[in-house]
Amino acid sequence: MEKTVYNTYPLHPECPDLRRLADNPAEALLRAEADVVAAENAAERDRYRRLEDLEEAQQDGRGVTRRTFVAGAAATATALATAQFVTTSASFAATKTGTLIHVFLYGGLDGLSLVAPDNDPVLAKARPDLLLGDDSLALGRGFKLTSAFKPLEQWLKAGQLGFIPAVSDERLSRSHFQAADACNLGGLPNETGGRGWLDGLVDNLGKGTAFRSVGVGSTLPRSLVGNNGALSLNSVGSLRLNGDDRFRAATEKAIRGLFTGINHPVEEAVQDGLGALATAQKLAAKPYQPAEGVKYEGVGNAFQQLAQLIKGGANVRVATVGMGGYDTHENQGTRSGGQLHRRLNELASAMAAFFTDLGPKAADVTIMVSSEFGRRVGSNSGGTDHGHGGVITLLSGKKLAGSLLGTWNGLDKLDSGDVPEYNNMFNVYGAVAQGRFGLTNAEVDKVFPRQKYAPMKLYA
Amino acid sequence: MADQNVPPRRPRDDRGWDAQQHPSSGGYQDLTASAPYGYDTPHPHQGGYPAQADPRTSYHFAGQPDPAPRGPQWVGPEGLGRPAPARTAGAGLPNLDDGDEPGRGVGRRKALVALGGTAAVVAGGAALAMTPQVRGLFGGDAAAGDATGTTVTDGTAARPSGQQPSTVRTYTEQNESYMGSRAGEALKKNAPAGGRTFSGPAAAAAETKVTVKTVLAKDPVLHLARRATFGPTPQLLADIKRQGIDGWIRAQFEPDKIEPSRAELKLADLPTQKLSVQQLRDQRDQLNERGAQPEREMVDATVARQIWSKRQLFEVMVDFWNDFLHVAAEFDGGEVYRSSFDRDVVRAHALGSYPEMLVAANKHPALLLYLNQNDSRADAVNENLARENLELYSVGVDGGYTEKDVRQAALLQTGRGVEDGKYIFRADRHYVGKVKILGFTHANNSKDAKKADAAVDAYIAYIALHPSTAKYVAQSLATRFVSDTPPKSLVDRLAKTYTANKGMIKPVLMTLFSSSEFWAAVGQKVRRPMEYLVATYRALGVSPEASPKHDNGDNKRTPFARGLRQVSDKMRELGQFPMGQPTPDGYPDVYIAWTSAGTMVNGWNEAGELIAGYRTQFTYVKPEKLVAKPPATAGAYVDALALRLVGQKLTAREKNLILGVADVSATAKVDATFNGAITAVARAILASPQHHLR
Repeated sequence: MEKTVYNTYPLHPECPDLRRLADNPAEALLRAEADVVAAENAAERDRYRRLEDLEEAQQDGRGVTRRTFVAGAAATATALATAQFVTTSASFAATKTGTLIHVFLYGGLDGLSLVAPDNDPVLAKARPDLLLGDDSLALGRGFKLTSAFKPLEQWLKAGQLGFIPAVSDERLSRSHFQAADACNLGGLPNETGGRGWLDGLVDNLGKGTAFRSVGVGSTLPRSLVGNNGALSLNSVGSLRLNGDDRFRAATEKAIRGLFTGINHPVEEAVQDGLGALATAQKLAAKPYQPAEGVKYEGVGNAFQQLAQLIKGGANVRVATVGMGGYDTHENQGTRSGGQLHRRLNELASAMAAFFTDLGPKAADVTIMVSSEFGRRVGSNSGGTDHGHGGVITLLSGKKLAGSLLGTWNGLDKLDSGDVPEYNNMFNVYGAVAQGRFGLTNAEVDKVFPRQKYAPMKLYA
Repeated sequence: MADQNVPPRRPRDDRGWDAQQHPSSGGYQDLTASAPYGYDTPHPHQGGYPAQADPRTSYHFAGQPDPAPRGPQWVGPEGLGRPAPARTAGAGLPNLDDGDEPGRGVGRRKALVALGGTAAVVAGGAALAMTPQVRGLFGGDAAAGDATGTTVTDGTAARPSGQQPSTVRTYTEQNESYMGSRAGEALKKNAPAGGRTFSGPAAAAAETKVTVKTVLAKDPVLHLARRATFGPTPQLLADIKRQGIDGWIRAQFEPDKIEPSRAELKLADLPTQKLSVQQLRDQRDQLNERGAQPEREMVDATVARQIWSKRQLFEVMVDFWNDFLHVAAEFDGGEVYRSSFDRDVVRAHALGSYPEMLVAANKHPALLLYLNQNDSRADAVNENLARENLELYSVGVDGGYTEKDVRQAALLQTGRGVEDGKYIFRADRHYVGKVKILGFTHANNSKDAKKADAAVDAYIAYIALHPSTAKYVAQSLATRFVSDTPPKSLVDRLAKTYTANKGMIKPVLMTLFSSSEFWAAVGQKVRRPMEYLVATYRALGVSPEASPKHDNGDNKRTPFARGLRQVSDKMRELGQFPMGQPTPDGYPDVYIAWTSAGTMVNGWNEAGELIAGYRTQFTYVKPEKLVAKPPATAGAYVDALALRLVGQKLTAREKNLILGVADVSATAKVDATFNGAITAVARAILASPQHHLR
């Protein structure tokens, strides 16, 4: 982690000290802000520690829970107070800020159970049992959206929720393993040199904090593997060394030293993790309090970790969340009450909670939801088999160009029983990232080495 | 419980993929989805799937005329029992398509079917789904039949996905895929470019100069203990020294002759582990009422063996095979069949013959249910097991097979299934006709169950001994024992030994331990989360008896059983537990997959908890007693503690870092509790690379 500059007041954007913090002004500003938060938190923490020590002296016992609770309350309050500053900074430098979250639905989402052309004769014949219900929401261009996404209606109305249908790539087979690998790498393993696509993307984002690339989970998601280092965590709260407080800082320092110069690349991952501890401890010192009325459930728990990091100013740039259970060969349940409907509703509720919780900071966030492949157009009596031509969902802080995006030429011509590839998957990935971070075509092109990037109009 | 994260599968689900890539985020599971398939559901037959209203079950192949040769039935819009449309299949090859899961045919056109048109498309994907009324919409079936016949494909030869994996590498084996990045480059630099095989392990150890820079002590005894076991203990190091490297390995090769540990004798505390498949089926309801979960007790028992068994190399190999020939502990049917698979397939052959293991696995209900073989029949082929037999369990994804091979293997394997909890070969479901899979050809012209079954066995044995399998097993063993990027020189020699010895494991391991590459690779592996936790229990000398102060309350389960569950739950939290991967590919075996800061810190915290010994289900050595006679000065105490916990002394620099934890100098006087800092100091040592690397 980079050195911490203790400074109680924000640096002015023109200040030369600020520029030393990072290559570009936006990044520098964010870092300066993070440093300020860190310093303020440290001061607050010390103050509360002193109070607590007094109190503890009067009581026996370990007192750890209570103490950290109080200290944490102070820290979070400070983080929130300065959060506004970050939002302002985003407009100061419009490029390369914000966060892109790639949600991967493992198992192969049936895109036609998410969005589908209304009253389509082909669908009526091919999947009479899997049509969207009458309670569906209207989308642009004659499409409708599953009622499972009702929790996101306010963003649909605001022009911030959009869907790209018929997304695929010729590299994708019908094997979960192969397709998921290619989707997370942005190509075949030999094409990307084994790097994940988010890792390649981070090349363009300048220097960052320990939280620049975050995966929620126990293992490092494939899309983050590569050159830039990434942090994977189950929860922000898990990044805290337990045991006697007296020895914590010294233990961290010792581990850091022990993992220096060991001639094994795991060193880097350990150092990255240690670098994240201080920030995480500040953020998670007390149970996270989402914004009023926000409730995270199911996959929402993963989003809550990201909200905690983003609101706390940890400067997350790319993140990924995985969700399973989309391999709906049987008992698919497209309509209300069905099992896929419930799962999509869980996802939509989580995203809605997340965006509500972020409040104004949601303006800097884009969520892209994709899956390894789409499924067959025809029903197999209750379910669908592996296919192609899936749907990518966008929930964006920036206004989108429409609620149904990209090319759509109907279902008159199918490809092997699947929705044809009208929109290339990696062009969509690229265009999403390009709009989020203000990248040039050439920069996007480099993320997908074996492919000529063709920009798509996704954002307004 | 099994399969919480996927929709209930129908019996002919072509790929029972659990779709849980990130262990923890996958933890946000929809419990309600699994309820109908939960433990408490009566499982009438066939691995616990409820009887399905699959129209095809009413179709009996035997009732049909049996022209030979002929391909499988294509099931058109008219439904079942209709003869397949005539299709030219070259040289007696089976027709490679059906209406279920279109194979990725090679060399097909990417055909866009025009509507009119649409009928055909629909028929291709969903013929079976159509009600008579819907079928009526299509006005006849001729066009549909033709179109489907030519479009059920997954793209052209121009599409990578339409080609042979080995040519285009559409999917790289997971360890290799992970290491194809910068981290892999760094490790490759540390690996020797070549090497040689010595007359035996001890000779190789003595002759190999370890040149790689590492913080681990370059002591062959320690190296062997780190790699061939779940972690050194003072007793283990003493044993290797006493028996000698060759003697110790020889003894480990005969696990039956090694006495069981106290913990293994205590496994009687896990009541389901003694039950047969039949008993587990018969007592399902009672077990469920008691809250006994056989598949979880099996995981717990495995954890106990990893920590305490003296048959350490055997346990390491059991874990290896559980990743290679992976059947998840938790799937619908796992509660009944997985313990038997562990016992009768994996453990029975872990140090024996891999071909025998694979043949046995392919006749075991656990695998047949896990990968849907039980649902595959000549007229409704399910490719799942056939594909994974090739992609994961034998030749590997780059092993040279094509989609055609997958298809024919799937056809050949039809007939294998499960009935009344036992393996059965149903001749009436078996596809009859010549097959050619890789270099294996068989007339497969008999409906006789025994002969047909033998044909499948012959095929399984063939792929188990295929040169690509030899290479894949060799690569995986070298990845487990030597390096995340193992030297090709070693992989080639291991593959050669595998082939020369017809897939016997011990000679391959002997070649490995006799290689210079093995002994030169000190410090190149990182313990995965499960391995880290097990090594920590071992290093701390935790014993399986309950602590004297333990109060078991009115718990029905013994302290030992509860303690084991606590360990396996912690492993689950860390993202890795025995047989835990839900998908059939097993866990990745390279460090970068496991670089999660949250998991790392969680591991360090658990180490701290164990040192402090707050728990009582097991007996923990008090931290101030880890070192028998604690030296009176801090520096000497750290030396003694490091020797005790990680088997080596630290450098002056490392020692100073550890002393920094307690903020004392090397010459400071300390008592046995390190002036109150012993837990923190010991934990820092267990958080060091000396304990993480192996």
